[in-house]
Amino acid sequence: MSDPIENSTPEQMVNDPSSQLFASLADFYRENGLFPEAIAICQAGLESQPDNLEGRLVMAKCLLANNQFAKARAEAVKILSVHSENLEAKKILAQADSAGPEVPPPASAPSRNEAAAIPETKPAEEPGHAVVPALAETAVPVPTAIPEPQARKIPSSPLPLMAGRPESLSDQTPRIADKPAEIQPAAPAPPAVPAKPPSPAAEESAEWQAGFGKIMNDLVQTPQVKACMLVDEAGYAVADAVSRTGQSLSEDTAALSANIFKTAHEALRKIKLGELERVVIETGDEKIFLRQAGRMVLVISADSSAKVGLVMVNSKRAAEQANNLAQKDPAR
Amino acid sequence: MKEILNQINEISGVKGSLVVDKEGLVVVSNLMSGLEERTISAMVAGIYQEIIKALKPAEGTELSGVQLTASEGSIIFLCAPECILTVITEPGANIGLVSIKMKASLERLMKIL
Repeated sequence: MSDPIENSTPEQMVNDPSSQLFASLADFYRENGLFPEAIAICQAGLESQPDNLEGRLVMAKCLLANNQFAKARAEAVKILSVHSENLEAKKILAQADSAGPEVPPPASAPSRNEAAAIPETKPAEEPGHAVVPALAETAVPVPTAIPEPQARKIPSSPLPLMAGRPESLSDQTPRIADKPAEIQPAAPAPPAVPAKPPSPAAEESAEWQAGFGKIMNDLVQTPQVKACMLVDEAGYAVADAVSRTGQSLSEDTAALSANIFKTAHEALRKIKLGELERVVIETGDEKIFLRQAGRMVLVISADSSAKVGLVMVNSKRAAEQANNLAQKDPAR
Repeated sequence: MKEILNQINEISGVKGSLVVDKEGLVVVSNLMSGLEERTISAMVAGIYQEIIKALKPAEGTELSGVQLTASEGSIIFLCAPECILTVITEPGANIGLVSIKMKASLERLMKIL
């Protein structure tokens, strides 16, 4: 039985119908302050699924948090053109409008004044057209006077859990997010532009690193899989993912699992059974799968009722993807 | 006990089987030539101990079984309170069938031990 997906790139994974949860992954990155990565994931996902509302909402939130107010506004308008009552999109629009110097919207996105001029003869029976009047009618708080440049009005996103993550991936946003309520209207703030745009190499590296997270996130969608983790030869975690009902694998468990794999690997070579490929451990409560992924080990924790065959197929695909991605290290 | 192992060995693709205790001592074995029972029993016990060490944080967790799949064959072991039933197979052997047979055999072994 051959695996249909071989040598997949991260872009192909996003286009894979089984990866429709790119929005959730992007939101996860957004919550952890990794806005460039989240935006990259959304862009890739929306290319193949332009109607994905959740993905577009996440994209808008990331753009807003990343001080790209014009783009955030454009995304919010796109959402409202289809879902005119979407409260989150309205909030984003309001925040984008009030956050910085007024930027002329793109030609395709009608401005507020234009919205008011559109006749109200297209009600909800044609929801696609009811957008802009609804905007003008509803009580979206819009300041009548543009205040002094307050480019740093930051939405109240939680501080990212930055432990262990390199600062270069997000050195702009955490500092901004540290001071959400200390804006001095009297003092002109610098424009809403990142002080140091990430270099192409840094972006490529960030995207490469995010690729491992995508692989794990796809794998954890397998039914009855609770959590999974990629561990390197030394037992350090490379990437992990947890299902909604599962619990994260501790780094100790991952390291010990990698040790089991290594021990078994050496033992099998001694008795001339070749190279160890995978291990399945069954306990009363769960099943643990270990699989070689190049120079890494893939550790999967699943319910005791999990279908071994299905987990094996998906873990094989994930291991191949992880190995291929590891070989594309941009730092090499 | 040897008869039970013979029945397991009759399954196509099975290279041998043995019963070891948790310390790695062989209780009974029926292996094809080329397989050393002491090496295998020590390996099984070693892996068993490593797994128990790794699972320790999950209190009350008991190990039921382990499958190791390699390029040249597989090793499957089922754990009972007193012993470990181990089967070595060739690549491509029907692991599902072997597992079913092993579970039935382990019950019979437990009655004997």
